[in-house]
Amino acid sequence: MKRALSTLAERIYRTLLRLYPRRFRDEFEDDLVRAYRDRVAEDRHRGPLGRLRLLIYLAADFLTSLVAVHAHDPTATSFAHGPGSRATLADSVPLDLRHALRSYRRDPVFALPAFLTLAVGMGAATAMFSIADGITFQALPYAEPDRLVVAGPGRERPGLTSPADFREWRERASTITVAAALPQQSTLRGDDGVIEVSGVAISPDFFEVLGVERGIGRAFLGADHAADAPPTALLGHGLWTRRFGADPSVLGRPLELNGRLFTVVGVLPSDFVPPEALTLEGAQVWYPLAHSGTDLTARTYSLRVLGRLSEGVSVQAPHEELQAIQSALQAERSMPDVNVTVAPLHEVTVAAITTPMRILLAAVGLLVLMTLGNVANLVLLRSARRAREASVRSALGASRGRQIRRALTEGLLLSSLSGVAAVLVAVVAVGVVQRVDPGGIPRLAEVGVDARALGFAALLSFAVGLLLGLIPVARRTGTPVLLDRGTADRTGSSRRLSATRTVLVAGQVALAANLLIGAGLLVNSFVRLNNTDLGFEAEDAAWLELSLPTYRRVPLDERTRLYESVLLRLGEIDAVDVAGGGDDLPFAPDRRETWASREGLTLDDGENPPRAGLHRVTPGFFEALGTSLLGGRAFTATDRADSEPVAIVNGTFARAQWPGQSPLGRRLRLGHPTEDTPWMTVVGVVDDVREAAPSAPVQSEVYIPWMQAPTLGMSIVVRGGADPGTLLPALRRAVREVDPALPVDRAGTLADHVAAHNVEPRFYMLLLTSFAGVALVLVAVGVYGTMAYAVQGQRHALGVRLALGATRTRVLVAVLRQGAVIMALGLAVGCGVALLGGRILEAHVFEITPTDPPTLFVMTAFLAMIGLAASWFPARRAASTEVVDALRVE
Amino acid sequence: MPRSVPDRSASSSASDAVLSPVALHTLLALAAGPSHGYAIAQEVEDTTNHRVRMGPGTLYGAIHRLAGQGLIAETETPDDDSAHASRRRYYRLTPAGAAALRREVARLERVVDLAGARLGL
Repeated sequence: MKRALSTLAERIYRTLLRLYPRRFRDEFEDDLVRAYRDRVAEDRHRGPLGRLRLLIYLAADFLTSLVAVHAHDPTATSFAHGPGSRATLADSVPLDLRHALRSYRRDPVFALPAFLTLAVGMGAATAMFSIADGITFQALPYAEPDRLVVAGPGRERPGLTSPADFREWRERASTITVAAALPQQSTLRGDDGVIEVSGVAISPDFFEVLGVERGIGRAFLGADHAADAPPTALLGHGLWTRRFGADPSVLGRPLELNGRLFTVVGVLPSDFVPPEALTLEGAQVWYPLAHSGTDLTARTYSLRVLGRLSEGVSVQAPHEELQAIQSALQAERSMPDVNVTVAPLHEVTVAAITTPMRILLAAVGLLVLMTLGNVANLVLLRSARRAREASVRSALGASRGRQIRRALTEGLLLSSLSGVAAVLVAVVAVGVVQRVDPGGIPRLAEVGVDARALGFAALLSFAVGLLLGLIPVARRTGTPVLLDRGTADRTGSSRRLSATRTVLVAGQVALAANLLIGAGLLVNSFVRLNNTDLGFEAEDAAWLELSLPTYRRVPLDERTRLYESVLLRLGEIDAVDVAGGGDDLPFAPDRRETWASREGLTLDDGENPPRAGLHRVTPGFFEALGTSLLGGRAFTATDRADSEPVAIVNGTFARAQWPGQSPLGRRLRLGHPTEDTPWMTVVGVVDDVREAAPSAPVQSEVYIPWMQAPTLGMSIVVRGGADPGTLLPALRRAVREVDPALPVDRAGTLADHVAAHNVEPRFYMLLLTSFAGVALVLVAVGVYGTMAYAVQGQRHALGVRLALGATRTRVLVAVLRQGAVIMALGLAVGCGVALLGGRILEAHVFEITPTDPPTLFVMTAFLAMIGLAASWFPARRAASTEVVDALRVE
Repeated sequence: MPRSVPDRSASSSASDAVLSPVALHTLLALAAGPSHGYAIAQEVEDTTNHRVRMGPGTLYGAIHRLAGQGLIAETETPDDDSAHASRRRYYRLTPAGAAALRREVARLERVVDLAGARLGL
């Protein structure tokens, strides 16, 4: 493989040598190739980076010497500027540029599509480069990030470390300095009640290890980490500006955090990004572990450990050292040994790349392929058209060097103009991706079209320009200069579309068919997703999430009373019809499932009872959610801890467990039938709610009264006739009136809650649809360009036909047929690939298969129509050719 | 510093032309004795700290040009025992080449003198 590649590279180099003047080539070809081989064999040109360096080096050498050698070639005569005068490079560049501009102005049928196609294709590639580069190659924004690692127990990825182990690591390790972080949801009291913020408890040296500059105020000192020190905190820059109006007098002021008073001693720098690899994204308040309420001698795994390698140390030494320390600890405690993993921070960060990124890459890949095919096709067409011009020029004595320079100037001019447009396209594209951020793309917010991306765009347009300039030259090399090439064009077989061009355009049609079918499937399934019966009414309802901070240690019965009065108070608001709460809303990320055994259930050995989702809900919850009761009753205020245990099941569970019978009055218990959990009487049946996700199938669900097993937090749904969004401030106020120290974590409308869970399918749909849109344009441009050129080339022949009595309709049909053949070829291949490769989308379509026949049909027909429309205009022009004009042409 | 564009139309006589950096260093490399192409390139890149890059095209472009101007000439392959040496072509400095090199160095000396006077070095 490697050898084949290097042989191929040498072959390409040999081919390029044909661009030198013949005399020079004859004399030095072997020497040049030998020098090339010597260069390839050099040590500094090994490895991927070395190869890249070599490539740039050789390209620069080739281009400069090509011009220089041609300028000195005594065999070349240059009549282009009149006999006897040989223009210097400095003279000829503006001249070539002017010539190039003029040639494009004269040939807009080529220039415009090529420009647009290149701008879009290179723009997409640049945007993708920015994102990929920002995520994977850009250094993390900390001092000497190469020395940062994450450490923890685990075989492949470092996991959480216990405070006890961390303390030992910190004391004993010499090849690495470790620090720990513990993300905690924290409550912050302000003048207007309490808010939830992301807090982080950190060990001593955390910011020193991370390598973050001090912002405003001071950093934590060693003394701040002592258990008996007055509690101190640092604010994130975002929280400081949003919450405290960037007021520097916050420093030294007390702040009630998690029910304790902290003194704010500093604000972190505005450009500080909490490391995502430690799950600290969005962290806003930082305080010492000593004041986090965490038991620092505990052996439970809770801390994220960050490490900075000592100077000149690789990952290996700290790994061995920490492993040795941990093994000794485990032995001391007579516990089984534990594997310790040390991984570079960068690697852990990048490991979070997931499906959206991959789909993005695949779609961009298809698009860039299409672009290249499109432009290559246009250039081939153009060079075929200009073969005559070229032969005339060389017959008149234009030197090869001169012609190459002209072609290169033309190519580079076009590619650099498109390159500038491509950067604009990239800026817009990156912005759009950030706007619809589907999650799963780490460090997305840090991404931008920066200097490196500009460099990439410049290199890309340079390479494309070379290609554009050299394709026509290389094709012409070696063919004898024939003045009658032009007449061949008029009479010979070259007026038919060449096989290469047909394949290029058909290939584009095939690629576009895939993008289009993919987009069609996603749009189709998204529509179904939005129309699906969720089992509840998303409109006209709001929700809020409350949670009692653990530090308040509210006893169970008081908890019940508190939430009951909150629900009561919410229900009193004028606009509110009904309020109900539960331990979770539909689509909660952590679905709780349990075994649910009906009375009389018998199980074979090793068989498990049926599973069902378990939810605790208050009276009024189903009414507020808009879930209809199919039978029996809802929970009431009398279903309490001391009353008879009752349950409500959903339709799916009822049908599965008591087929054909009423479940009302039956009994079930959570767990195995033989377990000693209490029997619960089924008092009601509710409609199926899609609890897991809008696109997930309905499952068995069991609901029990919240009052019989109250939780720390509660998700409340409020149904009111008015616009639910305007209700939110009143709801927050009502909660504060009941208990000012009860934080509202999050709140919103139920409709938004549903939409938020459709973000990912929406992202795929938007992405593929926009790419399919671009692909459509490219196909239209490709087909149009090909047909327009073909028709132009055939004008003479068409004129003859018309003169000989062919009807205009026949000419029209003949041209359309050429377009139809290309489309049919492309569509056949495209559909085939879509049928075979549709499985990629399997996980992302809802209620339809990836080979859904109607979608396939509609999309194919649509594309075929676009293709035919694109060939219609050239065909009509061909049919309206005036015989005289056509015969007079050229 | 404005870069002087050598007047290439007059350079076929090669008498008073300012030598390009590549030509100057190629001649300098050959001043030490006959050498083959790749060795010249390496010598030039080493002595100029890779400031002057001599890829295959630049190298043989320069050899082609200098040979055409009579400043260097192909020479017999020395009795080298390495097997591949026989396939390499060796070049030597011609008397005209040596003279051109001396002229160029003298010119550069004048430049250095002038610069010294103006800049007070």
